Amino acid sequence: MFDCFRAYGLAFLIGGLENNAIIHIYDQGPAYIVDVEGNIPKSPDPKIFEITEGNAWSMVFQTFKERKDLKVKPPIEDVKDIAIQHYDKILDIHSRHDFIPDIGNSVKDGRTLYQSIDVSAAKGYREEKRSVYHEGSQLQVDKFSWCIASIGAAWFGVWPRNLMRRDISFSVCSIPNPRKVLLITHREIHERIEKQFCPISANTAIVHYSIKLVNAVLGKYDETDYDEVIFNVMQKTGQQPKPGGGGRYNLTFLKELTKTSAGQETLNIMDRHLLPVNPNVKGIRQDVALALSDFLLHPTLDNFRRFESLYIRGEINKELYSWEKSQLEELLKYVEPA
Amino acid sequence: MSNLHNLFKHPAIESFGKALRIAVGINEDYTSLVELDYAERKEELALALKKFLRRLDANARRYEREHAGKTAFKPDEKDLDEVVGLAEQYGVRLVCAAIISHALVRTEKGGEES
Repeated sequence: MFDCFRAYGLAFLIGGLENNAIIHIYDQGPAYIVDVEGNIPKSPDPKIFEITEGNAWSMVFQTFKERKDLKVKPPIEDVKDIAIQHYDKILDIHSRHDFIPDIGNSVKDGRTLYQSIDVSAAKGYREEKRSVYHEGSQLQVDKFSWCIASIGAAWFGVWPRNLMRRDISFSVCSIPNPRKVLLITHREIHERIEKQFCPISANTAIVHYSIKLVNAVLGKYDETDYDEVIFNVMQKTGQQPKPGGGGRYNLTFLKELTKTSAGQETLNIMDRHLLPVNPNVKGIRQDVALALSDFLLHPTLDNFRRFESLYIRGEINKELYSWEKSQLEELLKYVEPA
Repeated sequence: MSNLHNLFKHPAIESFGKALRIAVGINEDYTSLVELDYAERKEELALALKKFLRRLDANARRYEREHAGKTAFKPDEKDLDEVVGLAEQYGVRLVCAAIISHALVRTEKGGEES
């Protein structure tokens, strides 16, 4: 996730809010490539460091607590200073093919990698702490990589707004992996997607976001194509959020569904009717949303049978509508053999 | 295409699926649904289908008695033989899943009667 944020962050640092150049991002397996056509601006756009509704600076640095006696700069200011003062250096090191971020327990002039940027950076996540009384050590990264990753996380990390409610016990941050992305189109897609996802569990939220994403990308594959959604899950506590896991969700199944009009309709039904449920109202709708998410994550026969078994009970109770034959058929095409 | 999709489109499965849709939606025969849902072995499927057809037959006769001149839908013997053959070929769980899937589907235009 850190690398993906770095790719988006570097592209956005160059492009700025005004989209100064035509910028593509490609995932080439071992590395992301940021391809810039046109003139690269001489300095970054200062507006990208302002806290606005369109970004999530406060979410990225949510664990930072400002105090009067603090000797370090607030992280947003730090990002801004590094980006402005070392703009040329950042571009220079990232134009080298052999550049690899410096990551470790102690990096010279490094910065702490926040768990909101990569959950594997969380304290106590990387080292055994059993029978030892300490919090765990922080992970540091070189300040240039940290700066662009923070920009990427703030502007392109997807933080569902409805999961910020106090009664939701987890939060999710996700980002679509750029198989081939034109930055300006990605920004348009990112802004268009409503950041309200199924709040029952992290699985349902990730699946719901993925459905919205493939619907939004439809018809734009020549400009923008994503192959996976990378996600971080954090568990809320009375103190700071704790790591709750992370991973990648492959979008192939959902993208296959968008190839037919019946499949698109199926996705719309899931997006508008099956997944938006109230987390406080227990019942068949919640059970169906959980079963459907499990099926979309792992389209196995067992998961499908659980889904259909619950769905038919919802139909009998008149809480759920019957399926159109062609729409259900689209789902059945992808059920993996037992 | 998955096997489940192929089975879903099979005429014999469609016929039993339609019968189950009628049984659940109109006759409120939830027992047959549960029995099919839980069938895992061939003997269990055979027993579930036998009971299902017996209940369907009873409901069909009642319907025909109450609506003179109308004929209720029932899968025929050939469909039954084919479903049993498909269960041997693809497995009981897949066949049951395909039949139950039809029960999730909306009634086609013109409606269905018992």
